[in-house]
Formats: sequence, structure tokens, C-alpha cells
Amino acid sequence: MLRMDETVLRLERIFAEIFWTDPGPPSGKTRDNTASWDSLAHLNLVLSIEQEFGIALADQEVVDMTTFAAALEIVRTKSHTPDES
Amino acid sequence: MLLRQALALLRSARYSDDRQLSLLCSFEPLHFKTYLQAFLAERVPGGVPRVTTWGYDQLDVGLQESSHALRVHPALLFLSWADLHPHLSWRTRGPLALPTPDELRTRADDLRARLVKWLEARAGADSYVALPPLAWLPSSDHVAPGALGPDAVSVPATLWAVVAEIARKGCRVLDLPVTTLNWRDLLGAGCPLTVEESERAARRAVDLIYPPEPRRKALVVDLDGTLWHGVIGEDGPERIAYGPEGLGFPFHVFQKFLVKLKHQGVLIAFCTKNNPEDVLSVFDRLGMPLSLGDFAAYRCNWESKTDNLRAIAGELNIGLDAVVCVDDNPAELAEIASTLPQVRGFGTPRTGPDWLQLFEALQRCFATWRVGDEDRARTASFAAERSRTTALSASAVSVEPGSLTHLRGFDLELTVRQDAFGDPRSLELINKTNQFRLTGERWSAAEWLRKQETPGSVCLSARLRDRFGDFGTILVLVGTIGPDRCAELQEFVLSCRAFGRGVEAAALEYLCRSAGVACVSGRFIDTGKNAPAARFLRSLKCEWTDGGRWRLTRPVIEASAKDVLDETGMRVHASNG
Repeated sequence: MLRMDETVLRLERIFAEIFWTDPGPPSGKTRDNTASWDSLAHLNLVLSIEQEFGIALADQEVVDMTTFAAALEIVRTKSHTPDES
Repeated sequence: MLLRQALALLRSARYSDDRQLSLLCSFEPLHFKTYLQAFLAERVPGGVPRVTTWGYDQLDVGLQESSHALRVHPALLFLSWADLHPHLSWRTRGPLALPTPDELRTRADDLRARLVKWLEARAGADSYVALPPLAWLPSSDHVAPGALGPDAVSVPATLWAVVAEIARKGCRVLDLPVTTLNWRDLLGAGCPLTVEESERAARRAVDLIYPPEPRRKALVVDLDGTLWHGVIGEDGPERIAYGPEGLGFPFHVFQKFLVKLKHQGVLIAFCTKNNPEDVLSVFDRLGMPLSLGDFAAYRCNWESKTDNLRAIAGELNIGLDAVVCVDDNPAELAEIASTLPQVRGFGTPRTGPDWLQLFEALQRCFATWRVGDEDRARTASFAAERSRTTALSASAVSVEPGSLTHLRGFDLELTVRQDAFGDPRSLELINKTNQFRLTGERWSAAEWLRKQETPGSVCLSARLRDRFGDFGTILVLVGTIGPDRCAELQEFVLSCRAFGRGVEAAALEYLCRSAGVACVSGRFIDTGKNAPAARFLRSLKCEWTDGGRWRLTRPVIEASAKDVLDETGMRVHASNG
């Protein structure tokens, strides 16, 4: 099981590396405020998250994952991450 | 490598201005392309070849551009079943049904014609093809998963037949480790590869297209416990096992594997701690796959392994970094590893799977895409060299330093080929020669093709024969001839096997005569290994200028060549081919 703070850090690193051309903190990124978040980047994001956390996203989750917060929620749910204490 | 790591690697990569790799496929390569680019960035960090791809279903555009503007660059064609017929994909807009045999045949003929035309337009460049896995073939048959109906069997057979034909025409076939279908990304983005298989397939493709280290040249094996089971000096020749049964069977296969390597141009040698009379006198009477004549060199004595390896490398005129050895004694291997770290050592296997691993490791050390006449005759050329040495020592002629008169009775014949750009051996010799060469540069097929297209370019090669045998093509010079009739050589290589015969002077004279050249110049870069080329230039008292540039005038070259021809009786003529 993953600790929540560790999950956030790992997810932030993925967002930072994929959307490196866009300014701003990774945790604030959404599909609307991130110019480089195109369909290819979205696929890279999905695959990087799957690889990093050893999970498989359902088709609906792939479609719904349009913000950092949504991605974190999906990862948290899929990997049963405990809340930060 | 994780995808995010690959993406990070690409951000910091230093891309080459003139190196590219065309990746052709009618599917979306997506993460396969990312990993291909990332592994290229690892393999060629100084100037990363940029991977060029075309959009989904744009194979024809890719074929067109990689046979014109990108013609000289390497190209990897990753086929899918839909390239044979559009219905052979889960994304088809047609029915999920197999095409009829007639339809398949017509489509295969069309694909074959397009690929042959593509290959012909890319003549001289490196072209690779990868086959699609069966898992990408949609279930369009009536049989259960895991089975193939008769019509489905004909699909792979048909595509393999197309690939076999282009392979015969020089296309290199890759066996990439892809066995599954990424259905989600195929339907969503058009990419049939999973991210994990993309990584493995891209890694293998880069290893094959840009090998991590150059091909080795010689394999030195131990005898007892490596070439046969048992100890010949203790058990006697009748008790050792090497036949195709029982304890000897793996050794029998290993010997046949060595024969195969020999036919591919690998020099086989043995090095054993034994009394010569226990081994040499009985070797050919044993009736093994290998005979003494298959060995380019051997040492049978009680000297140290490392001294013997040095001596064998010296006899074969190769560097120790071109040597691989196989030995059953871990202590010997440890000594080799510590004293001669350039030598690649492998232990003799104890179990079946280990033998297979050894075969694969050796295959990797000696892999080549092309086996030419020179490769097939390499061991024989060392036998001929021994005959030359014997003939020379048996004759009363003394070898004077700087004189070549002792070669007079050898019937030396130099056949010069002009426009040798088209001979694959030319580039091969340039890239494998270390000692007699002007620079340490190794050229890719793309760079070779660009040199060929440079205005005023010249490439001349020479083949040497004498009464003992054929040396094959032993010399290549490449350069450009300017309007002032001066030839500027970019490279001038001579195989070490032909040293000491004056061939280099004769070839330069031929260049001057045939191309009306008034002077020859170039640049010399000391690689630490190419002193023989510097010695030759200095022996002609060439003019040296700053930055290692040298220049020879035609009269100097002619005088030197005349001395060679007068002393050796060498005949020089043009090739008919």
C-alpha cells in the first residue's frame, strides 16, 4: 500500500515530466489550463501512471482523468492508498 | 525503462543534424517510437539520430519519402497484417472476415511490388523489416482461440513469403519480442503495442540497428572439456567423447557451430595445455566435425593461456579486443579477465540451457548481416600465409629491410576496381581496418551514400592474389578530385594481411594514372593504432602541414610505385567487373 504523500510526489513527477513545457505547479494542472495536454500527452500520462503504480485504468477513467486531482483520486482508489496521517 | 524516464531522456537528447531513422508503419507507433528514440539517445548520445514517422495509415507516404529525401538513412518497416489486406485489422471498416485466397494473392503481389521498388530505390542504405505477431490478427476465422483455420494459416504464410523476397534482396529482418495486442490503444489511438512490449521491441531494434560493440574476429577455444568431453592426454583419443550421442553430443553440436562460424568469416583457433604429440598427430583421425585445417591458428604447449592468446592474436594480426575465448577452467578465465580484459571470455557450459546461452552469446559477438567471399575464404587465407612463410624460409633469398625483392617469385597480381562505392566490401573494410588507415572514423551506410553523391567523388578498391592464394579485397581509398586535379583522400585503408608488399604505393599510382591526378592529399589523425599508415606516408617523404595534413606529388608516387613493381614483379590491372 502506498502512502498518500508518496503518491502525490510520484504523480507530480509524472505530470512535471510530461507537461514540462507548461509553467505552474503540477498539482494545479488541468486539461483546460495546460496547452501541451493533447491526445498524445494524455496517452503518455495514462501509460506512465499505469507503469508507475502498476495499475490498469478503465476506459471511463482514461476519459475522466482531465485534472491532476482526478488522476490522484483514480490512483488512490486503484492502489488503496491510505489517507495521509 | 519507464515511459516517463524515456520521455525525460528525449528532452535532454542532443539530436544529430544529419542522422535520422525512418520508422515506417501503418499503425500509430506511439510509445514504440518514444522508446526507440530514447534507446537511440542512450546508444548514440553525441548525436542522436532523429526518428521520423508518418501518420496512421500513411505507410505509402513513408515508403515514398524514405526512398527519396530520406533515402540514405536507415529505415525500419514494421509491418502489420492490415498492410496485406485492410480487413486484417480490428479497426477495419470492412467485415471481420478473411479475404479469399485470390484476393490475398493479389494484395500480396501489390505489397511485394511496392516493397521491392522501395528497396531498389534505397540501394546501399540499411533497410530493416519487422513482422507483426499472430496476436494482431483479428479472430476472423471459425475456429477457437489458439487455433488457426486453413485460411488464417495462409495469411502469415503469404506475408512471410513477401518478407522472404525482400530479405533475399538485402532487407534485414528483425524478430522483435511482441506477442500480445494492446486492444485499448489500438482502438483508441491506433497503436497495437503495449507499453512494456514497446520497450522490449525498441531496445532490441536499437541493439540490432546500432550494435553496442563492433563484431569480434576470432574465437579461441580450449580442447579438453570444451571441444570434447574428457582429457585427451590422460584418457587417450579413444576415450574422449565428441560424437552425436551421450556425453559427447553437446560438444559435437558445439564443433558444428564453430564450423558454421568459420564459414561466416570468424577465425577459429585453439589453445590447449597438452603435449603436441597427444593432440596434433591424432586430431584429423578422430573424425570430428572440426579438422585441423579449420583452425586459423593453434597453440598446443604448457605456456600460460594469456601468453598464448597474445601470440595467437599476433599471428592472426588482430587486436586482443577482437578475440573471444571459451574455456572450461574458471581459473584460466579469471586470469584472462584480469590480465587481458579486452578479451571476451565464456565458460564451457555444464547444462543444456547454458549451451544455448553460449551459442546466443557467441552469435552476438560474431553477428553480421552479410557473408561475402572474403569471409568464407578467411581461414584459407591464413593457410596460404603459412605457405608463403614456409616458401620464403625454404628459399635462399634473404629479406633485406626496405626491399621487396624476396616477393619476386610470388606472382603478385593487383586488380583495381574503380567506382567501388557499389561493393559492400568497400565500406566493410573501411569500418573494420584499424592499423593502416588515415583516421579512426567509422562511417554509416548513410554517410557512405552521401560521399558517393559528392561531386568529384572517387572510390577505388584493390584485390590481391599471388601463387599461394587470393587475399580478396585488401585496399580501399575514398576521396574527391578537385578542379585542380588534386585528390583529397578522406580514407585510405589497407588490410593488415597485405602489409609489406608495396600495394599501397601501386594503388596510389593507379589513382594518379587512371584519374589524371597531379597530387594526393589528406588528413592524418593518430588513433593510437594507425602508425603503419603514418610510416607509409613518411617513407614517401610527404609534405606535412599543420593539423596533420599531408600531401604527395604524382612524381613521388610514381617513383615509389616503380620501385615496388620492379622489385616484386607485381602486375597491376583494372577489374572487368
